[in-house]
Amino acid sequence: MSRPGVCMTWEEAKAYFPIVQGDEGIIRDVWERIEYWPWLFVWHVLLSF
Amino acid sequence: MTPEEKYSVRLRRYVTALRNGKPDMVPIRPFVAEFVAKYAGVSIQAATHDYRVAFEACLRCAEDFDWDAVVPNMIYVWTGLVQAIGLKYYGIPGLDLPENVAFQYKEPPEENAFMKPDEYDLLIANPTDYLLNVWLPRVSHFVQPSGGSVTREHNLALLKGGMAMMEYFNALGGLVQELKTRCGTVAAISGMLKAPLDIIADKLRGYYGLVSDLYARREKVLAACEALMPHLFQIALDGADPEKNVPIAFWMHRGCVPFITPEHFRNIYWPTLKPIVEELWKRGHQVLFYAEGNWDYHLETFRELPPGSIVYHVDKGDIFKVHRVLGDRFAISGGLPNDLLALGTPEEVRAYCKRLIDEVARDGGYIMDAGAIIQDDAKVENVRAMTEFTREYGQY
Repeated sequence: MSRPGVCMTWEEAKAYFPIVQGDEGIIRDVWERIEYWPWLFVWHVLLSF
Repeated sequence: MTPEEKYSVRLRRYVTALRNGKPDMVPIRPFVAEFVAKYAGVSIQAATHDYRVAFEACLRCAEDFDWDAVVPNMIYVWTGLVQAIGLKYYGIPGLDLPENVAFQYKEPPEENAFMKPDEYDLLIANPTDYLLNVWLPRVSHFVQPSGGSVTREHNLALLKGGMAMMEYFNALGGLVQELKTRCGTVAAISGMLKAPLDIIADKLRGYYGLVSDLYARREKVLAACEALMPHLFQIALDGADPEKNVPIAFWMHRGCVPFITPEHFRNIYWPTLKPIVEELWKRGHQVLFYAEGNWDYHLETFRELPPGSIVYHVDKGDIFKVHRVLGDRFAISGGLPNDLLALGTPEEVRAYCKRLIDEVARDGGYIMDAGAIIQDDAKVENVRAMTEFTREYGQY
């Protein structure tokens, strides 16, 4: 089941960034915050446009 | 009064009626769509394809008519965005349609539905992935499926589509502010909801595909509705009024009898909609049931919802019956027949408004509006008659 607001979770994306030297929480939060926009885009194409 | 003072009075009036209370007078909240283009003297093509023209026309109407609230741009499909993404399912005024014909949704025949009958499991497993990688490429002339060849048109469609949607939503926020500060008019709704089963009929399987599936693969349909629920809830919540004044609009399409059976309504449509409405209400958001067509068969079912949680808008239903069945629990809006606005006389419009005010609005909890969105077929003098009569006669 997919989570609202996310298209590609950080867990999936981590494959492209195998080494995180700093705080992974910051990286995850920002990744998933930006993920909101493509999620919003495709759902609004379905619902509104 | 200054626009700010007008806004304050109108907001109080509108919200009091939304909560099924009795304000100082009957609020007026017409869902004016292509009517604004007609009134402003611009083509439907101009208002639909260049949202800035629609916004200005909407503001002009809000300045000229004494309306408490309007929808910020009820010409809800910006066809510039549609064209940028390459969406196949709209007829665009001035492009596929004559310049003064409103945009049209073109539902494909069942065999060409945008979602195939054997794709339910994909949709259920991950609705967002399915939409991005299967559905969007199918509904767009430009977007390529995952694993397909990337083209110039594909890249541009996603970039332009994403950026243009941001532009549009930002501009809508500006329109809401300008309605307030320039016209003293309230933005009538905020956020949107559709029922899971309606979504499957509207843009995925098509109506004929859905009703076949309700018999051939019923459990898949139910599971798909359940998979859509959290996303539809989140979209509704994210667009809702942070002040919790105005409702989330719920656009009701073909989920009622006789489009589906009572059993399908009872066991699929309603159980996958009701929890969304209840959860939104728990968080303080009313939902405006915009009951397009006639949903009278289901009025008793809607009584299951908590008092005050919805506002029930009447299109082709019997508004006097709706008032009898639901009036003690929910506010009611609409009910003025659109054909009267298009074909009737101002005297006939005034007479119908009088009946609505006498029989439905007498104890409050009623908002004057047409049954459906008001398009360019409505006569200006009839919309004016609705407005002026309601103001004069609709005082408590």
